[in-house]
Amino acid sequence: MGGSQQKGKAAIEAGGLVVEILHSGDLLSWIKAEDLHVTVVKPKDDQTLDQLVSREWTYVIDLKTMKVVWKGFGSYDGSKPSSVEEGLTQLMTLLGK
Amino acid sequence: MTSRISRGLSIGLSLALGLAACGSDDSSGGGAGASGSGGLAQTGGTGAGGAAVGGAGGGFDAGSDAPVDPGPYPTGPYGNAVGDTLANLAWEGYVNLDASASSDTLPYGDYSTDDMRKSGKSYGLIHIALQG
Repeated sequence: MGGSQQKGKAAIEAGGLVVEILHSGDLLSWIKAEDLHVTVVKPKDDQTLDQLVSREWTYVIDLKTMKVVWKGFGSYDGSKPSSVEEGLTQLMTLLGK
Repeated sequence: MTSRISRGLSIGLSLALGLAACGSDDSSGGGAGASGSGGLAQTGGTGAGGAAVGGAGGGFDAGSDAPVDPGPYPTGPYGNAVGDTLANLAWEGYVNLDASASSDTLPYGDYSTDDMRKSGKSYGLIHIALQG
């Protein structure tokens, strides 16, 4: 389990929700390859990408209001750190950790 | 004069029929396009919400942790900027609420942003990933 996977697990254990949406590919093989302990889903329709733009975007949501409280983008070519790392840090801060 | 008016009405009627025919073709073409991949335009708050609410009807019961009934999903307009309300989005996959096991060992089911909302949790993170 890598760094962001560990942070995702820790965020859930701290009382948050973590949802990975697979833009394309096979859910099972991805989960097994990354040893993911977070929610892993794929969109049922086009609305998810219409609303969330594209891969490499991360959103932190206030689940009481469903308002976006933080968003970040990494990079398509891996030249920048994944936005999920910073998003998880933001989530942990909001959870008081 | 009467003849000119008649001719005008005739041309107008022909144009109307022609436009109606074009409209019919357009809508059938649009329907076919709609079933393909969507664009990236950040639009359609109301439509998006309506469609997703339907999709979430049989959603995964995320309430095993701390179920709540917070009422109906927030109304639009929806968006993805900080401060915007996120639309209700419909997904399917492996829902892992306590991180105690690898997600592939969990049941496969429907899930949605509405299920996240009903989880009783305060905050959630959504990341769009590409298998790599």
